[in-house]
Amino acid sequence: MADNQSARAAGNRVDATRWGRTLRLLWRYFRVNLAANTAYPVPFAIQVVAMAANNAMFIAFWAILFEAIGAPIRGYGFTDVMFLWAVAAAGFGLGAMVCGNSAYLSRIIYRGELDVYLVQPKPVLPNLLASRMSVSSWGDLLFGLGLFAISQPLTAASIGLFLLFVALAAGVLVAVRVLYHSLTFLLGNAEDLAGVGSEQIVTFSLYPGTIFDGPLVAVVLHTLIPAALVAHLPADLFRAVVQGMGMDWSLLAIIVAGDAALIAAAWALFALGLRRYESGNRIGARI
Amino acid sequence: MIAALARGAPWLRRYGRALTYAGRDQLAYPAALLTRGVLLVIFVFVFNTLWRAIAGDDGELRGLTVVQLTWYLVFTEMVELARPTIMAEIQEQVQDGSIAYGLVRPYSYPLFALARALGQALTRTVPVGVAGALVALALVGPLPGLAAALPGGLPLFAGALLLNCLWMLVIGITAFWFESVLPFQWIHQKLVFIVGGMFFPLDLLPPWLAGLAARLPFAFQAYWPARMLVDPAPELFREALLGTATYAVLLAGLAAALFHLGMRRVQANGG
Repeated sequence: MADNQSARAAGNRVDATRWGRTLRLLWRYFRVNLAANTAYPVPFAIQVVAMAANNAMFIAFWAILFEAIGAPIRGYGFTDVMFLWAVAAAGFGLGAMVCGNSAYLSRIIYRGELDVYLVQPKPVLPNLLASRMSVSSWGDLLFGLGLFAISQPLTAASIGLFLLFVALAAGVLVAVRVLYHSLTFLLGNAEDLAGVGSEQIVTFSLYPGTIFDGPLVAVVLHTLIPAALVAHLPADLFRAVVQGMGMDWSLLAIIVAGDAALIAAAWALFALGLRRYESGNRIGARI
Repeated sequence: MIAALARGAPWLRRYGRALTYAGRDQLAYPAALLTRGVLLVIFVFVFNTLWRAIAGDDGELRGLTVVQLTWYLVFTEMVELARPTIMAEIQEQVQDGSIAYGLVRPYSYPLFALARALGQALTRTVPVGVAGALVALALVGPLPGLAAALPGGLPLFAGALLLNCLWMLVIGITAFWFESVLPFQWIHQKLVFIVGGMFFPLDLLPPWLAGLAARLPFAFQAYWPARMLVDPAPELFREALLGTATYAVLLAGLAAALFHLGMRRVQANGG
């Protein structure tokens, strides 16, 4: 009995150490990628500012639309739509910043470039995902944070909830990319499918969830294109909190559980696919 | 028509061939063409849902029915999703130096690039148009009066494709000065989205802004052709055609001038 307990405790310590090492690896990648991207500050600044301006144009679209119709759209006012934009943009930006390779997984798999990561003494998936940073993701993240600051009430609860949803959205968006791109292990090349599938989460996240009615659409938006988990359900919960109706803990638990299930599914499919991966006998160097 | 032109003017033949081959190249990647069709289906579905939520199934928004608004988006998105890759090609050639091979060949580099862009855009328009027509038919049914609107709408639609290609050429040529030209394309694209009237007709804008936006180049890439196809106004056709032609000439001149300036920055070392 005592032996079992000590073995379990030792196992937990190993797990904790492994997670700690992975987090340290992500942090180091982040610093190195940031240094590489800012080595040429002017192109970096142009991309960041242009992406933020690019997103801001859509705010004009919604402002014009709400002005033209003069009423909420199925319960969503302008402020609610801005919350959708803030959480989706910041979540997308954070995901592409920390795990910038998630959009290139198919290409890496079918070109046989995975070999380079397999021989390194680090967990494959985090090592692979974090080894690239999307420059324009800074524009998305800064835009999302800025939009939240100017369009939503700022209290400790609202800021904390928003940051939680941004982190969860980033995790889900990366997980869905991993999930779809891992199909390349099974289908040969799922790059286009993965590109379209993962982009549509952002597309659907940016419109009021209430306009998408019908059971089939609801199922799709909670599973294959989980825009409901990324933005629609968080918007419902956030609105209730800022209107003083209190925290709906059961809804929060549903969101977290749904996100965790998607992340676990993505990890499992990648691991399954990795078993089928055949080396490209490719010699590469990562400098 | 292009072949006939080429027969009449031999120097045009090389550009006609560049256009044809670039268009044919697109057919080698059916999955990419299909992906664009799928994207259009999704966009039309989302916006049709939004218009129905706002106006109701049989309602109107500023005088336009949900049927017209849905088909309007199909036409504007056809131009957008037919966008050629010439901008990225030019950027890559400038960055890796392979543009030098194009410069010594017996053709005008910008004209050759424009011909390739047109070939890509024309081929891409077909599957995107078929996908858009199918989804619009499924969601809202046929567009009333489309056949009568085609004589006015089609030349403007062709002009919109040409303007899109010219913009991509101009932005691509800025690669002589900038590491990445993608941010300029983002901004251009969003200007077309909003003040060009891609998502919704400019009639939804506040009157002072609508009047200004209708005269900007971006509107001739989206609003004017789509508006003439869903809600024809023959009295405005000449104005729309003149605007398209004027901006095409201005953009072509800008492309030529930028290319001329950019050439001064090219350093060739042989090899």
